[in-house]
Amino acid sequence: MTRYIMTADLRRCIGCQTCTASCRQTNATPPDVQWRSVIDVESGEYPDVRRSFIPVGCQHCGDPPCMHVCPTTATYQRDDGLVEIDYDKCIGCGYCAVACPYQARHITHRVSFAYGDTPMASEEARLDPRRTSVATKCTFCMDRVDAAKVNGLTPGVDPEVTPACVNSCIAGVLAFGDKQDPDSNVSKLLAETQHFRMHEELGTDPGFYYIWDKK
Amino acid sequence: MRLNRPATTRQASVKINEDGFMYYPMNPTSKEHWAPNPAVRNAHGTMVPLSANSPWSTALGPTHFSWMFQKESPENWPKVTAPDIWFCYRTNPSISFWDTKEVVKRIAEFPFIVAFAYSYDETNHMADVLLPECTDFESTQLIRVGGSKFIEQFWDHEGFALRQPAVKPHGDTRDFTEIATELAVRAGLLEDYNKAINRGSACVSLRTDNYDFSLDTTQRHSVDTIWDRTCQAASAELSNGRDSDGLGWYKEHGLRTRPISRLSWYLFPELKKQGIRFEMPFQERLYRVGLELGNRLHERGIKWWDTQLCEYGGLPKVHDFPGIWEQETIKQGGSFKEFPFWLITSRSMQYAWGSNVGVQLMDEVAGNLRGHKGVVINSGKAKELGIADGDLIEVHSYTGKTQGPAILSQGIRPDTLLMMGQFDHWATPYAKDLKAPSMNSLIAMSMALTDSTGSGADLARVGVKRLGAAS
Repeated sequence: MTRYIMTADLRRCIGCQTCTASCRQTNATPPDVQWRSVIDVESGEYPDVRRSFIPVGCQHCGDPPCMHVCPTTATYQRDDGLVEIDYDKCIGCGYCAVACPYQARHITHRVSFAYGDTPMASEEARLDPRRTSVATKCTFCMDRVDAAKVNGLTPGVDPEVTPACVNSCIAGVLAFGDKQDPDSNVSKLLAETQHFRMHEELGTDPGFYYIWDKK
Repeated sequence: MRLNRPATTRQASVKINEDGFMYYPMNPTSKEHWAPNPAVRNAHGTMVPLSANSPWSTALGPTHFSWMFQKESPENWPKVTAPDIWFCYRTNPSISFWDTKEVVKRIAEFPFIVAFAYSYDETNHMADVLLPECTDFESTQLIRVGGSKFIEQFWDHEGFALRQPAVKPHGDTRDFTEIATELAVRAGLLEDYNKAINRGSACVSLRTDNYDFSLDTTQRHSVDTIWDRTCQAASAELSNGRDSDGLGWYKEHGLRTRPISRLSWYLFPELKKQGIRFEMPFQERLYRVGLELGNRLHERGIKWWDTQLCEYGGLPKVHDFPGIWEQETIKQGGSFKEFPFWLITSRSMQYAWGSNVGVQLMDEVAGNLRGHKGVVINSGKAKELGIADGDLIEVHSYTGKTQGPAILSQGIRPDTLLMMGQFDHWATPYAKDLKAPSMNSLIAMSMALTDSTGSGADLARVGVKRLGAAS
């Protein structure tokens, strides 16, 4: 069974937000809706202070709380581990957004554009009315992953079928692949590093691994 | 940064000097060759021997002299006049300089300004002729990538990459190449313009001993023809004349490279190969050049550069750098009690020195990082001053004041403030509405704060006042 996951090597992230910008463009999300973003975290007290950049977004949990609270079954889990939303069924109740411990879900109730009321040509061309008043979030670039089934390419290896954020990362922070495949890039990365998952104690079985040191 | 020619390869710039050390193209300071009357307004060739003579040199001299001396020439210095025609290409000094209000006043005195522009901004606001230019997503350019050119030395390949239109141009904008060609035709400069392209001004020489893709200098050429020839020459350069793939090939493949040796990352192998003596006594040459420059200036009665001349030493001395700013603050009537903080800045990848601030997406992602939208202040110090996170604060220096939200941080010294924004936008769409604090309002344009290379620092002594609670 396939389980697609993402890894982020926190030793390498410089907080450039290229993944954020890439996701915004690839998925044509409206202003301030970031399916992938990098948070800037300060820890410690002066003068012993550290700064960490942490890519965040939907963790594509193995046991997703967002799915359990969805009253219409709009949120569902695929066999390959991706947690997705059927916009046709979503009623925008927001239960999922509240239930998600990762604040990964967004609901916008009106259409907005980068520069006021007039859309840019690119915004107009890619406006998807189905996304208004429904929950949206990172899909792990589902359309690309699905394309792999047709063209025989490998997600995480071939850029055409790899999430845009991973492709765009300038520092080699992000990786994507099948955790169940022991030879995949992510399996090898996890085998040789120390890592954690965010809020793992909540039992959500997140599909996003944060690498912080070598073994 | 190496300033020697050629800019495309560091190794080719390594030459032996008559004393056996590596040659460096200092601007002349001898009695016979010193240039007392600057050819350009920032006077780098006259005042800054180290700035050398490459295309970059004008950008590295004391660029603020242009603005300062236009207002008031120093003693025994030729009068600095406004340019007859000022071409402004993809730069916006009205918001990206020290004391921008002063810069705007001087630009406003220019008799005729021609500005290339893809957006309305604070500098082209004053243009007499505006040339609407395509963005990089709408136009064509071949660009050198990798190699051992003067900035990035850590590539395994060198070659060329094509920037090609991804979308059709918006409005009445044109490709820069089309605008430049049209200007050449209308100004009667077509032959010289084509000759310049043939020499390589667009990217790569179109004619060498190995190949010839040169343009007919008497004819006007289209954008695609110019870049097709350039692409052909690039292919030939990379293959020693064997290949001649043109624009069509680059449009399909994007880039063409060849591997380079990692030895080319470093100058030492080339020094060794040429038997050039190693570096250390270089400082003695610097000392001599400083003495010569001082002699030339004193012969003309110029004493206002004497402080800077002290930096030309045989061996580096310990300098009290903070003292330079502290003394100037006191000289301007300020005190450490009034201005207890150091104000510094930091580069922002997202804002790209101000050029991206008007792009909503870039501004949005910049918001994910602490510090972009306000003034970073030490949490403990802020508490002492009764300032909470997000409170509106005023930051003032002896030159002016600005305001923005306080961003409390443990990761900054208690005596220091950080202001990421340095942009006084008042015209650029979107950016003008951000109302971000601008460090430029607080930085003096001053001879006392100029070093011997003509450079300075984004640094000031400042005070802080709480204006109100977070809105």
